[in-house]
Amino acid sequence: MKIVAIGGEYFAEGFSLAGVNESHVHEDEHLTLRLLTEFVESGDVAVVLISEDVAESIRFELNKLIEGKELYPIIVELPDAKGPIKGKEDPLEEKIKRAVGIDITLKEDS
Amino acid sequence: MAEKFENAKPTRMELLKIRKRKMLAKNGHELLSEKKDALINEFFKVLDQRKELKYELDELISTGYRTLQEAHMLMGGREVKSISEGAPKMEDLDVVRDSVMGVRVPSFDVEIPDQKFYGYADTSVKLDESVENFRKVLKAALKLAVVEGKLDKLADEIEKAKRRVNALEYIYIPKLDATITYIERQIEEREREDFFRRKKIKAIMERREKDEAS
Repeated sequence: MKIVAIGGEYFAEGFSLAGVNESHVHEDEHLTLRLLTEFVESGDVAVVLISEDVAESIRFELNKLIEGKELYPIIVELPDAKGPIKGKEDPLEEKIKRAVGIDITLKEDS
Repeated sequence: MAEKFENAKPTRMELLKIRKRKMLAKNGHELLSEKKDALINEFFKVLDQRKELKYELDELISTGYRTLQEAHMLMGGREVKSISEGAPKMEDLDVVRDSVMGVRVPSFDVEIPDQKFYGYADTSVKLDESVENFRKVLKAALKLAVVEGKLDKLADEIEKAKRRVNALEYIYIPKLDATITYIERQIEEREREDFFRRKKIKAIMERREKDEAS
């Protein structure tokens, strides 16, 4: 199975240097969504590395896309070259809440 | 009080059967809630792992970006881009089957390429560093992917277990209880009827005997 990266120019280039199987520069939401849909449907992509800002811009569609998926692909959101987005909601938080029934905030101070 | 089962027949056989079913349901309930607790335990463990990994990854990726930007400045974006396009791709992943307490979780072995793929002559040392750094980032990101995938599946499984435990506890077992009381009452009622009937018959017979005697 493959590993792919979608994100800003530095993001895509960095992962391309590291040797991911496919790496795409995010141009606009439609293209990125089409790529993501292809990845999910192909069944041959294990991990999608996506930059936070891109994921944020297509949050709704992204959630719909990966709803009820099998094990793969795993979508991992990583900070963009501008650095991590402050105060961004953790995509896993919703899951945690539903599973455990309590609210856990992941903060660095501890 | 919960509703009884619609098709419950008020017989002794049925009563025995339902009592057996209740025992089974109770055992099942106990086992399931133990499973749920164990899953939640595991979930928190993995959650801690994820927190650490994420922290580490944020550090790594920001150094990665910094060196890459420096490489851009020293060599020009176009040059770096063309080198990045020629970078060797990693082998396709081998996906390994793995499970945590019967839950299928993702797992794979990765081999990140580590050979040089460009000439030294006109590249900067910063490019070497960026390649090095991003390989580290990729490695950490894949670790994070496994952990996040695991959390995702565990969360689904916890939800399922919770729903089952609740269904047993609040619907199925109360229903069985209600059915048991219903059948017991029906049987008692029938016994009383029988008793009364016997008494009545006895009275009639005695009266007849008296009539014949007189």
